[in-house]
Amino acid sequence: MFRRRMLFQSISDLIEELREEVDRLTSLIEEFDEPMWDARECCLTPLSSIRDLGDEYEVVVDLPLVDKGKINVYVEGEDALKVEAEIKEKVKFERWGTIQRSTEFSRYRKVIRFPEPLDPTSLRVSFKQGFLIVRVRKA
Amino acid sequence: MVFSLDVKIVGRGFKDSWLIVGLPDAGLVGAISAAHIVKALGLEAIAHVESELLPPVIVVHQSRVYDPVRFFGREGLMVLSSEVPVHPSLVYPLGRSVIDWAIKEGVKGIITITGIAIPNRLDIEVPEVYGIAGATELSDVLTKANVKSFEEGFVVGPAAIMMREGIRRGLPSIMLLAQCFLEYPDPGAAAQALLALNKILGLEIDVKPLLDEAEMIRVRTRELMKRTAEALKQMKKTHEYEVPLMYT
Repeated sequence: MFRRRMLFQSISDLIEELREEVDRLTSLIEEFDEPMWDARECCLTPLSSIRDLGDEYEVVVDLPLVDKGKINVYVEGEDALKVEAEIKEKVKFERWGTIQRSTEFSRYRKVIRFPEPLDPTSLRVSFKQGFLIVRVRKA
Repeated sequence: MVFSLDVKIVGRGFKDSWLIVGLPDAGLVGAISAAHIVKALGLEAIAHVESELLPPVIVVHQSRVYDPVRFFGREGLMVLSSEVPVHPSLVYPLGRSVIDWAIKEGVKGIITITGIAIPNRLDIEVPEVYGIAGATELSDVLTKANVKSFEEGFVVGPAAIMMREGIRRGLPSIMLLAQCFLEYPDPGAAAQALLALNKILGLEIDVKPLLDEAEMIRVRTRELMKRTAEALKQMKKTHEYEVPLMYT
């Protein structure tokens, strides 16, 4: 009995380690694949986080320099949430990088993918202290 | 590939000065605070950290090359600031080296500024600042400055190790923790931490420019926050939400 419990514990620890390693590698791939700006589209990628609340998700997106009325949120396809917002004053990083220094960023854009389909009719959106809070039900 | 665990600090400090440590952590509270002090007081770079545990990064500013982890200072006040996240493998050797250096340079004491993440930060207009004192006489300093004491809980990250090393080596050590977001830059929390620092050290750092520029700071620090959040995840930063076993 004791040995079996130890074996389950070891397997459980191993799965946890593997999960952490996959998370770490995924984040590395994301960092390499996706800079947080797109000079061609003049877009910045905002920071965001997702919480799984059981039958729905809560998504928080940091949108500084944005007015509430200039945000567009919708479900794209079956399993993605697209957030677009107009930045009220164009952002330019005069001394930063090579391409970025000559770009005036005027919008945020973020596509957040989920592991399961979403119910597009269930979107509930609020905006507080420059943060967009979206609740969307799983389909 | 084999990396050296050595951390070398190159440069001299100012004797009898306070050392303020503001490294990237929850809400970038320490990093934003440190950057604001350097800018507001016009502090000059005086030393830098060299280590193979740092990411292979140089900072280019006005066409000149700088190290990403630097000390700034003047008589009476020094600041340790970093433009890159502190990787978990760097936390202990950096903590030990900074305290060694501080003692060698004869600093008066060390004040680490950090953030304590709270899940309901969006509901809070003005974040609270708490203090931890490394010795009884420093508790009085915090009380006189009206800084509430952080009574119970976990603190995770570079600030925690810096504080512990400082206490072990007998260096007067204070930690300031401002309520903040975990994974979003929080200039509002940094402003409150600096107001507490003003009271403790009798400084007059103006936080109005920091609050006026808060939204732009949030835009500019997205990348640093993203990388810092990843490092914090590896350090199990969310441990801070838990209650310590020994005191339940």
